[in-house]
Amino acid sequence: MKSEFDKEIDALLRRATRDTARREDPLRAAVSVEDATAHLDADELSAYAENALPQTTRTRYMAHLADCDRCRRLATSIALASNVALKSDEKTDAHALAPSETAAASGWRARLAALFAPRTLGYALPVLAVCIVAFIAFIALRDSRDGETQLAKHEPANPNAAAQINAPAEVTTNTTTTTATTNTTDGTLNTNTNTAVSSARQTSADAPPESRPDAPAPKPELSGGTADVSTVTVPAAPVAAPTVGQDARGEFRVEFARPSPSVPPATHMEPGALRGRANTTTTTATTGNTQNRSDVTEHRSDDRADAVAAARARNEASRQEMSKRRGDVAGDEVEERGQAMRRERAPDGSRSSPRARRSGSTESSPEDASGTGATRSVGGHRFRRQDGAWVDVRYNEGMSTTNIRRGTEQFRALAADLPELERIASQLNGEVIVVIGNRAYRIR
Amino acid sequence: MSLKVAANVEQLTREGAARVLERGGGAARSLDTEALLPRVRASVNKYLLRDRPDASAEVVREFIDALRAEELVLVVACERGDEAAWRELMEGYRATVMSAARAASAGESEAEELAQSVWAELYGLRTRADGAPAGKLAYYSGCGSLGGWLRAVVGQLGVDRHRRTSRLVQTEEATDFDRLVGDDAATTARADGFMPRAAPDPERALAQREATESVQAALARAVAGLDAEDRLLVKLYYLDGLRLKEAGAVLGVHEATASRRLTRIHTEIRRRVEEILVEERGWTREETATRLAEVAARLDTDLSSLLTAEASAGDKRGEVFE
Repeated sequence: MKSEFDKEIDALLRRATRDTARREDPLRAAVSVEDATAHLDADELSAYAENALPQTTRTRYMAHLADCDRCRRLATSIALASNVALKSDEKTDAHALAPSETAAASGWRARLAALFAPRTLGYALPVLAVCIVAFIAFIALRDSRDGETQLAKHEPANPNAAAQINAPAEVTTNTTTTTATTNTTDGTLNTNTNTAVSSARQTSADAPPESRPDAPAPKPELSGGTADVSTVTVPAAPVAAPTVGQDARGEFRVEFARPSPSVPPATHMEPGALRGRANTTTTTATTGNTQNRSDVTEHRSDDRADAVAAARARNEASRQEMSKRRGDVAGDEVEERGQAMRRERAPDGSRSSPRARRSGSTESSPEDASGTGATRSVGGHRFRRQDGAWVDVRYNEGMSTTNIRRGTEQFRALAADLPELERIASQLNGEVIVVIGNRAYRIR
Repeated sequence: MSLKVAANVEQLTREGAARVLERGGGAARSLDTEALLPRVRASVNKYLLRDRPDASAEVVREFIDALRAEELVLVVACERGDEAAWRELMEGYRATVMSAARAASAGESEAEELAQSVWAELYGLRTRADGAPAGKLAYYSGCGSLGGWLRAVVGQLGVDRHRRTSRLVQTEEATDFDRLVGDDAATTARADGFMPRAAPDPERALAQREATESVQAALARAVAGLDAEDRLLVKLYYLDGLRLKEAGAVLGVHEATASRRLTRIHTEIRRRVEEILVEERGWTREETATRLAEVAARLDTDLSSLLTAEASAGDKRGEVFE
């Protein structure tokens, strides 16, 4: 319990001591002069003022100082000048506690009191409220985004969007409200591949190495979250049109495509390359100069899931479109070639050479031209190098064999019936033994 | 103290003097244990055994080991006429002596004169019976610091010089309590002064005077009944006009401790004053409380005019309980 200050006693003491001093000082001074030996000497005064005396001796000197104004004032001046350490303070305050314990306890109490002080709470409460609101907003936003992502993953491809992609004249996306016009004549063909993690797992078996996630790919400008292959928007105009996409983590992104002279021309992609890309599609598009960034900012989150689905639909539609455009290659042949490539892929993960990919064949060894035992796959047939000839692995000595020579009338007639024979003969030089059906053909 | 105990103390003192000599570098000043032994013995007897004759050997050792060895060795060397020690003493403590002299003097010239006299006193212009100079250095025990001791010496010399040169003038003036009674009668007068003062009520004035004197006497007895430390605090705070921080420094306690102690003293004084007034004056508890409040209120009112010239008192009040 804290005692209160007694103002009445304080006023009485002030007046009484002042009155006593006025009346008695001269008398005490006279006595002091006469009885100088009763005063504390300099050594005693300094020892007391510096708190260097034993407690019993100190108490005795206190009694003297309480009654002797002269010694008290001297001791006061020495004490204030020496600025001694307050040794007995801990003894007075600590009671049963050790000084270190007292300091620790007081520090703990002080920190606790400071923590819950009204001034501190005045600042802390608004901060706490802001933190709570921010946390709730974060949770709500995350739930909303998760729901959109799930919706985009499970929503089937929008047939309307696919139809729009298939339309050669105009491509409209819900995402950016940007009208993209396909342009197949200006040559500004650009391929952009964005393979999401989930879709990459699905397509890695079918796709050639270029479409794998670890393969270097151009930076996508319009990407779909779960689309196998992104569609491309390449601005041909000087002013870049904004593109909006959703990356593999489900986060939406707005990018502005810059017209750059470094955009590779369409001619860098050979038709053979398309054959090995079962799931890769390309779309050439140009955007009008009238598009501006405000179009993008008007984009609403409600359209995001539709955009992802539309991108997926565009991929599928583009794939079909490319299959139609390849008049010399049947659609099922592409699948067949893909399967052949997988079969011919070396167990150690070695990849086919570009030349082999362009020709639809694969090489298992670089020394196939001269070495025995090298293998090649052409037209769905696997050949091994044997005695200077390419021999179909299905060939055995007991088969009936038809010998033909390239460029002869017999060869052209046979090639008309068996197109693959002509393709094999054109891709493999020298003597070739190929098995078609149950019959072997030796091409020289 | 028995002979056995005395012999034991002597042995402890001798051993302690040897340790002091070693700690203070006495060998470098060509001192030996015998040179320090009288000083150490005097300190033990004066500050320890006088109040604790039955002090244990451990307490004696602790006391001796707490002595200021280096300063004590320096002083003993000076006392023995070591010129190098004297130079070291003057170079090291000239500023301390001058500072203390300024504090004890009214002007710079007076301070310089006082400082010179202090050095003369230290060196010892007079000689003892054995022919050695009778300087004040012989009284330094090593219990406190040499600087503090020098300040005390300067202060004492300054007080003595001041008293020799000043006249004692005792002013005859009415005590505050008496003046309060007189002023109380004047409170009935009009402020504009046109109306004559009303005649004071003699009975009421007498009753107030008696009450004031009773309270004053009881208060004096209550203060006198306090223990030495509490009494010292009251004197330091109310009479000497020190702030609580300064009073705490003199007592060796923190300001907060001094504040709590002063509040406790108030409570104790009130209790004692009420006991005295009830038991000796026959007042009731309620009557005692009422009269104490009345006297304090009158004093407080009067204090407002008195304390205008003493702003420090008001500051102290705020300092303690704000």
